[in-house]
Amino acid sequence: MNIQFRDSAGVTVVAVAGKLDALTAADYETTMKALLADGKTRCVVDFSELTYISSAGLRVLLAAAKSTKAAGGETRFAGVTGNVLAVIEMTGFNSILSLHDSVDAALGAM
Amino acid sequence: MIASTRRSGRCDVAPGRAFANGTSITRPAVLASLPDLQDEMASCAARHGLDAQRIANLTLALEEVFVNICRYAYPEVDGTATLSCGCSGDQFVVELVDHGQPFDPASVPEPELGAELDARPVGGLGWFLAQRLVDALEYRRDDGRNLIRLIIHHPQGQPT
Repeated sequence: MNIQFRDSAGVTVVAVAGKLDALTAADYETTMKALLADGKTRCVVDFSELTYISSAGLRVLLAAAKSTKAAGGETRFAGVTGNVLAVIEMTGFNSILSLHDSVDAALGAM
Repeated sequence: MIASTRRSGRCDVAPGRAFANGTSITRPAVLASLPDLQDEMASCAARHGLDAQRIANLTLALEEVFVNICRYAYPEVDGTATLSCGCSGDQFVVELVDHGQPFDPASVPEPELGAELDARPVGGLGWFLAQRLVDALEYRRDDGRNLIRLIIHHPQGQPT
């Protein structure tokens, strides 16, 4: 898994590529906690290059989204497709996360 | 004891036995073993003609059940898990065997799929996901071993 950041008018765009699984979930969690500690509570998570997600990945996704919301911020997700979207729909996460077709669409909704 | 979901078809290989044209590897029951097990299973599945989508589903289901073994079968001691896979009749079967604590699938609560973000519990989705990704998921406790089977029917895509 590879994580990259960029700032877009006060919103942090977090691009996650590769696999979010039991081996990499802790890296995602650490990254999102560091952003929160840094006061960056408005995030768009770009999953367009994410190819795989397991329940370990969903767990940290949900925990981070809850923490951000509790801090008064918000997290939106962009580019969720293929098997990743299938898993998110299977587990009902599509009804509790804000999903957008693209990063631009997510930024526009912030 | 057998617990299964959407179970049908036949499975004529005794638990723990080698499959025809199958493969079997044993690794420490630690998360770091996961890629090895997934690669081995995916190669075996491809040799048996499973398509990319079914292999992707099995790969994810395998992670879910293997992580369960690492966390719950051996909570305080080191142990191993043995992966065997191959064809049995008109099924492709992935079997995981460990010698750890018994696991009761009936004790796994159904996830609250409709709950709102704040109410949604973090975790508890692994077994549920594995069930959804394969045609049948079986668990059996046998002679001090846990046997979990992920089963795909008609692995080469023949109609039912």
